[in-house]
Amino acid sequence: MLEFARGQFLWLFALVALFFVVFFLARRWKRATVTYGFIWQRVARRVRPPAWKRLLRLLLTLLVSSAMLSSAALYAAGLQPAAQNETPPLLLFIVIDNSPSMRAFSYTHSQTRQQMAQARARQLLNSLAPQDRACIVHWQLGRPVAGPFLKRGDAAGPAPRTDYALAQTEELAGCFAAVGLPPHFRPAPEAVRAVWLLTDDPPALKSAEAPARLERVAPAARWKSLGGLPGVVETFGEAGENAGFIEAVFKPSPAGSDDRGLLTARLRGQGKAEALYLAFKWDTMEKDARSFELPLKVPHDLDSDGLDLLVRSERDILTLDDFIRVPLPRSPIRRILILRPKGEEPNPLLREGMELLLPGRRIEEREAVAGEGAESDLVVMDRVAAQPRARALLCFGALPPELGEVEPAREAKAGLFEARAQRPWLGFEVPNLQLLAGREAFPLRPGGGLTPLATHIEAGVLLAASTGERDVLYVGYSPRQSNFLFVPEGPTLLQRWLNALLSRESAWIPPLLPMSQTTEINAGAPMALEVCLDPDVGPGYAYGAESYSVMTGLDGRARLGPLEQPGLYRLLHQGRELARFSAYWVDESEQAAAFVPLPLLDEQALVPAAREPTWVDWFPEILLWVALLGLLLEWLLWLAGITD
Amino acid sequence: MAESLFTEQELARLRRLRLAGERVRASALRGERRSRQLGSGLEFGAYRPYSQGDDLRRVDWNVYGRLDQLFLKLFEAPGQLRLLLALDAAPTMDFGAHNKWLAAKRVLAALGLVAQATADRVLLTRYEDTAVQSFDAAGSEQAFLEAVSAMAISRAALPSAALRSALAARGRDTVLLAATDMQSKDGTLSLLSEARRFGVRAVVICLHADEELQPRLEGLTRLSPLAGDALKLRIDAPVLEAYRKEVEDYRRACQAAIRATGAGYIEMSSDVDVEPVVVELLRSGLLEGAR
Repeated sequence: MLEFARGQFLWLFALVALFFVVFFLARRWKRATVTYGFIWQRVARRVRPPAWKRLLRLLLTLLVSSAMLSSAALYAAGLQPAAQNETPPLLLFIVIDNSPSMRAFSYTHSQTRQQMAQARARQLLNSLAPQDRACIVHWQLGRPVAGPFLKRGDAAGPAPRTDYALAQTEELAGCFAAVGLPPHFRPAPEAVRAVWLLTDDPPALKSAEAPARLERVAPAARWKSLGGLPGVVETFGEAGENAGFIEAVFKPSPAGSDDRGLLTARLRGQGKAEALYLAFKWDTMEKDARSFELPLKVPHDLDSDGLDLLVRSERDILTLDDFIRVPLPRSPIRRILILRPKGEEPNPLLREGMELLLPGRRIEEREAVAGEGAESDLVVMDRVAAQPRARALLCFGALPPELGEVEPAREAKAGLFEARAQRPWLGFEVPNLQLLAGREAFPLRPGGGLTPLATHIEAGVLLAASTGERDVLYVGYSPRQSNFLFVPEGPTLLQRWLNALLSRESAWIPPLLPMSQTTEINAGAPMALEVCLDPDVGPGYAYGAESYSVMTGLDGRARLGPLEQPGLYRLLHQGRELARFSAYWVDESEQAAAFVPLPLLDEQALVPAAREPTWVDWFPEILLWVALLGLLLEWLLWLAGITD
Repeated sequence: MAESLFTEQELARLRRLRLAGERVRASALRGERRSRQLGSGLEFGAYRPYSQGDDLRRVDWNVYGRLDQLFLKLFEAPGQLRLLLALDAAPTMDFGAHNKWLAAKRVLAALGLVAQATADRVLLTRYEDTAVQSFDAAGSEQAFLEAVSAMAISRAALPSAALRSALAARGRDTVLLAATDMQSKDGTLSLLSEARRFGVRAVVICLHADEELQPRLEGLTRLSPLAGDALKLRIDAPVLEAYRKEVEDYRRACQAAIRATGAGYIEMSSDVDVEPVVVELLRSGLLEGAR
């Protein structure tokens, strides 16, 4: 009846009686000497209640106080022995399945299976008896990992990350044995060990006998052997359809093709695939088929170099396999456009130089016209501040406004370059520039988006570059009014820059691959590579390595994989990004998100059955009731005017 | 001792009252005032202890031979007024910030001094005393005041036989002045009944202290009466009101009982000056004896 009060120490309320008794005993009578004693006696007879009334009230007060105090003392002394003391303590292993299928969503409960299992683990923790302990076990890279010992009321902690590796259930026994016993566990009676598996699709398990203390938890048929211990299984979620990718392949186009490549994908379940160019929503393509081929026609000035593959499906329960980012290789440089100022004759040296440096490309040359778009793979801007759409820009004495501003022309004498900044991430080395000179040099105004590479003592920054989605090289010399194209330094610089540009066109690694597959990296030369997971793209929140170091062989080849979690990876060499690729997750059994419904068990039965209470157990409460009734009687007597 | 009863200024004022008394006496020689007592002339009145300044011729040597103590033999002359000062020495009289006992002694001493000036005989006693002290006009003022001062509180008792016999001796020339707080009223009322039987005029000076009428008590109080049993009481406004009403009723009943015996009744607070009371009594003619 008042068991709730025990935990919260509400029974200390009864100590109010102590205050009452102390007050009763501690009250002080002031002494006063008077005359007219017989009159005082007469007054006292008139104003004081009769002795029997005072006696009645005193008796009631003493009854109430003593009952309350006795009750408090009995509670404090633990007159009610806890039934749990007679039963062995329980060590419960709560095994939470954190396989990918547990990320399946239940539309009925508006939660994932993982969230429901985590909530259930909290329930179980709160249902333990005070002397019991629990240990939450989850899977990391296919192996069971036990957490700390928890007692009733402890937090279950955050849900474990998704583990894409296949769970090695046979290792559970070793895990349980390694855990040992919690500290302060009483040696006798011996602790009962049991397992509570929270999953969506239970594995095939042998039957086991229920431990003596836990017979009420589940019917005998639900008890299975898990890691050598008796255990029960509960499942969470609901059956549902899962649509997702089971295959995605990108084949680059052969040289000379206008396409960038061909994307082939295969789906499971019912749903629509959707390919979405990053930053170009108007290029969205939908494919209403379980497998499709998508020729990729990507514009040359595409700022973003990838597209996202999505699966759209009504009531799709698992989203882990619904998204793949396809990092596209750089578009090759096949066309070159040279823009010159209006009214000027073409510069044959510039055209010949480009033909020598990039043989076999289609070169177009024209005057810059205001408002007319310029589109090509590489645009050479000879003192023309246009806004072309191109993968690469070679700017002489002018820049697109978004990249920066240049100062008016001035003379730049030879031999006055003071520094040549080397930027490894650019992929090329700046040659010696001391012979360069020009009557027209356009220094770069500070504050632009380019990185300065070389500074002339008199003219300022005359060489700058940037890389990334679009490669830019700024040369401050005018091709006509300088010796840039005559002395070796100029063409050398152009040659190195173009080589770096072209090196990024090579296929280092296939852009799409299943995470469980081993693939080959072709670096062309021996080098140390690094593979890093992009944390912002992909499903995330999973166990597994996020970066790898790869050392190629002498022939420049290396093998990578299998990877431990899906997502977008970057291939780096000395901090410079060489390529990107996506590792996607395919596991037919997990993608099926199978669900075997099993009714939930009575977690309250984890607490040992209470023995039949005797009058001793009820005595403190009886005393409290006596006190309450005494108070009520006192109040009623006062209300009826019987006592004052 | 006299200083404990009166200050010099008070004594000076009392002496002026004595002069007023002497003027009254000038109208007639001692003994010429018609006595209320019929019968013999000079006759024995009472004994009183000898004090310095007394006339040695009045010493009763027979008593000295028996008791080895000097006592004066006092005689009463016809027409001489006897002022019998009776003090109720009950324990309840010893109460109050302005002590009732002291106030009673002061007022009786003042009246005694005035009476001495009129050559009247002054008899002094407590209710329970077995002897009555007598002071005549020839006696010293000092001796009288010392005798009054020496009186102390005793336990409550009925009037003694000596006091009754003093009333009976020359009843009609006797004026009884009793100072009491009437808290043990039986003694006083029986005394007044005796006085009435013997034709003695009586005046009761009823004293009270302010604390008795307006007690300043509150809360849980253990009351210890000077006479009676202790009791515990939670004192609040209704209790005080009931007490005040009871006291008022009691005092009113006492006054009625006193007046029923034909005695005069003067109520006096212990904190008031005695002079106005004396003046009032003089004006009332109580000390005029057989006039």
